[in-house]
Amino acid sequence: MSDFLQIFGGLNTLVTGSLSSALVRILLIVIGLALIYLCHKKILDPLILLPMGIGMIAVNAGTLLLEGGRIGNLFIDPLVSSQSGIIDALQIEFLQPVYTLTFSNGLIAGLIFVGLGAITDIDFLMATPLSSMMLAVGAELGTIMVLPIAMLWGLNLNEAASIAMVGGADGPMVLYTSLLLARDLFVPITVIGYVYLSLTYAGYPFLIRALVPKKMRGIAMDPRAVKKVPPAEKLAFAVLVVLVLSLLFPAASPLFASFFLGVAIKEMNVARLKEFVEGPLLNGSTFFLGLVLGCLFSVEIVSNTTVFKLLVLGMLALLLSGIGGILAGLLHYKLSHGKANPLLGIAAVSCLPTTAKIAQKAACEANKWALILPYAMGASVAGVVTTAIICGIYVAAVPIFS
Amino acid sequence: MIKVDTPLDGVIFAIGTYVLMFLISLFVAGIIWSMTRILSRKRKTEAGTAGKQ
Repeated sequence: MSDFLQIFGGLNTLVTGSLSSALVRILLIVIGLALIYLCHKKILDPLILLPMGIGMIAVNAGTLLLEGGRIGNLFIDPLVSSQSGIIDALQIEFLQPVYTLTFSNGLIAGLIFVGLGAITDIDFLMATPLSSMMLAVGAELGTIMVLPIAMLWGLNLNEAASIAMVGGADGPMVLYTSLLLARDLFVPITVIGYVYLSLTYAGYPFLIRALVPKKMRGIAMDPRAVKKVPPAEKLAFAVLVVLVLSLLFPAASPLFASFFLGVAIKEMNVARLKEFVEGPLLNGSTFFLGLVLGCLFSVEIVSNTTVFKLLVLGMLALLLSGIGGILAGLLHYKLSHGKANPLLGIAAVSCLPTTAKIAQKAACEANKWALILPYAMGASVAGVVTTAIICGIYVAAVPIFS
Repeated sequence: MIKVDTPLDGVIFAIGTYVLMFLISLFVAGIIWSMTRILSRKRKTEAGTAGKQ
């Protein structure tokens, strides 16, 4: 029977391996199936989660016995570190070239940021800079509060700062921070970060309903009340901000440069570059990111003892940032004498453009004429800037104090 | 060099980060605000000059 089973490697490792490993693999396959189902039902955003779900199923079903009786897969080996090991993996593992050349050096984060910059309208950030930035400051509550909580739970400063970045709700920055600060936990933190960010689409509406009364959610904001900013001003802003922030935080400069390069391409209206970065570059990067993340969701990664802590802390960070954003939104509502929709606060949690879409959807559910998306995008872009600032501070300061 | 290795140190570090982030955010908002003011004033001046001509 066991000889016969050896023909079917995936089944063989499931039956002959340890029970706990088999159960984790089955659980991960079920989670992958659930992700695909929820994407199909439009409950979750399929852009990242669909390739991730397929990747999770394939990598956990397709586990086999490798050389020397080692159990593994032919997708990715994220833990390989020796030079010859990397060369072997590049030649054998299916997604290893994508992982080694774009993922583990943060390039994919930069490419996504260029694309995001090119689809982001900064009109409303420039028209209402102070309120947008202050909403975003409120929405960083989780990014800040989870750091000491994580240290209380036994993580060191580097690891605590990396998992706290999940509260910034910006996948590329979570990837980048954990890559620079906690290389050993970089894979689980990034995977957890992206999974949770995709789950905000399903989770934040409940938070909104719990904290913001329906009457306030339905406040309409006239987008015509904000004057249009000429492209030249937006271009000048992009150049100036990348200059200033890069001077302050060189470690996070690749991310600033990527995002504002996208903004500059959009505002300069370089048609061919714009079409490339907002289409093939952004879509291709997002697709490979989702697929690689799904394939990283294997038993070896998940069975790390710290993963459970990371799962709890990541969720806490996003929850606190959502609450902080809503509180800032409610304060903004008060200060504007009831003219500003408090849902702008949740949009300031910078999961661009998901949280802005969540805010708009919640506003429409309360009042079908409430158009807040342009304002919400302004708050969301401000959220990207504040998250980038915290990323810069963590990346620069944590190595000094750890 | 000061080490941040206890949760209490973490609280202080986190508060420091928040304050610094707040100040830099204000600075960025200030850059945007002053830049738009300068450029809109410049535009008005240019429009005025063109009108006179």
